Amino acid sequence: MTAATAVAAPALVEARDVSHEYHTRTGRVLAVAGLSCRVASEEFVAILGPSGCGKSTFLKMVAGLVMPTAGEMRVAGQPVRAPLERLGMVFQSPVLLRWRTVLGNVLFAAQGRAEAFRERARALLELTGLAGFEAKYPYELSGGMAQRVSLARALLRDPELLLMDEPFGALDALTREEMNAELLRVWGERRTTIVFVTHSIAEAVFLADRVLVMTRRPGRLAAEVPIDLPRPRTQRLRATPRFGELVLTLQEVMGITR
Amino acid sequence: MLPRRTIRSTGPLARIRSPRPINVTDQTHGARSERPIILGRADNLLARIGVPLATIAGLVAAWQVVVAVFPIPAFILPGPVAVWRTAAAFGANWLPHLLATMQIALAGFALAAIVGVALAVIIVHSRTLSRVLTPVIVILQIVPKIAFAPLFLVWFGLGPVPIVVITFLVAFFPMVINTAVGLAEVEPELLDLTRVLRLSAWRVLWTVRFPGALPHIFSGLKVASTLAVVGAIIGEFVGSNRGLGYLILIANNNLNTPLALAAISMVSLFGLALYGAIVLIEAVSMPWRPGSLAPEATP
Repeated sequence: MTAATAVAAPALVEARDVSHEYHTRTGRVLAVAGLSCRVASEEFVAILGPSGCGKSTFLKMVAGLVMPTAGEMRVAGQPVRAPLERLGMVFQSPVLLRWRTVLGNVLFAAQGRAEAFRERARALLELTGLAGFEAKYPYELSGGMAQRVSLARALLRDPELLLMDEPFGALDALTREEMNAELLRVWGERRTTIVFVTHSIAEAVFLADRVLVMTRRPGRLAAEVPIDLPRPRTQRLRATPRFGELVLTLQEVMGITR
Repeated sequence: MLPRRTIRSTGPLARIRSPRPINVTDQTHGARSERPIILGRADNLLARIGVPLATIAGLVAAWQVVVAVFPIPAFILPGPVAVWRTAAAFGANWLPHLLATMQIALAGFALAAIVGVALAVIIVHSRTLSRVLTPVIVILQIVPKIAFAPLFLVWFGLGPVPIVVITFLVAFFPMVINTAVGLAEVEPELLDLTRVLRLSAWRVLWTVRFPGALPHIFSGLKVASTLAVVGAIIGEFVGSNRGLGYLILIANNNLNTPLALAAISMVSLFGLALYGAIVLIEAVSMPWRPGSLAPEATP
């Protein structure tokens, strides 16, 4: 059902046969090879693949940080040439400025218009469970809290497109599951389009409307799996048979079980 | 029976073995647990300041003992007591010399700091200008500055200008190198973030590169401050009619060794004070470092 609506809705992100080739000292490396896909507005898409399959490169092409060496990347109907205005990005590490407080780090996304965004920043910190931590410095935060700050910062300018590059990959398993649920709660309140890169099958199934599976390098599209789990999703969902079936399906696609 | 020795709870070793718990949650920037060196928490203030002072006092005492025991004439090596008496007797005569040297050293140091940071910004932002400037900067550092000193007198005339120029040349190199390293050292993901946020190069310089480079800039300032004092003395040796460097030279010529040593002590005290001032400013200006002395931030 979700997949059907995704096809019908106008695509916010459209990759047309995009490739990217890196030049290294030892020669050329084809990271992404002729990948095509569409992401609809307000859709949550997870890109799943083994480490080093080019999924981060693909995300950077969506962001406009890296240009395709072949094919075309379009966002909101326009070819991407540089990072777009209403774009939010969360990286694997929180990338906080260690000399700024929690609030200051969120306001870093205000591009110098801190006063205009102050109230919104406070509201986002509350939404991400960081009320009371505004004046803390990054060295005083745990990894999960730092990543919450990073999420609040990405949401500050109300992004139309939120790109997340293995944001919880460095966290321990428990914190990671907690952050997954938190992300869905935040997304429930501030609906936006999310492209979420991960190498965790359970994370992709739990979060996404649709999972795009990439092959080993050079990264191509191996499969597209719609996730027909009901929303709102809670931790309890992980114990349901359907969750297990979807995990198994993805494991088969990725060639982990045979 | 021999007294039992306890080495567990006191002394500097105890502090090394049982450090404060270090916060290891900062996954972004690795273990950055540097703390201000001179001043820390009040509980070991005594050890931190008392031990170095006791060491210096011990060395001075040993010096006095050597002079008292062996028959060394005062024009070769006077004792600290004799040096102190000479210094005290010189009284208000110190003032013009001390002020002259302080002015030269501070002017040269300020020039080195400003020009050093400016050069570092240029080097980090333009590959071409970096290729143009770097060899010039390195050659200026390699050339013995004292060899230039007589030339500067010819070029700039008598007065403070050639001495300030020498001081600047002696002190600016560590400023450029340290600042450039600090400015260039930005995580790739942070640079990606600044591009996603569409920040201008100026904004990135002011909000990301400069604050990130502050620890390196302070390292440069500390080294440059000590070199500026050395530079000022070198300059005064060559072409001056006042200042502590000039005084040392005159005292040496008159075989007035106690006065020369008193002037050298004065130079050292001034250098120490300048260095200490920078360490203090460093300790209060980076509240984001664990263990900082600065008050809590207000968001």
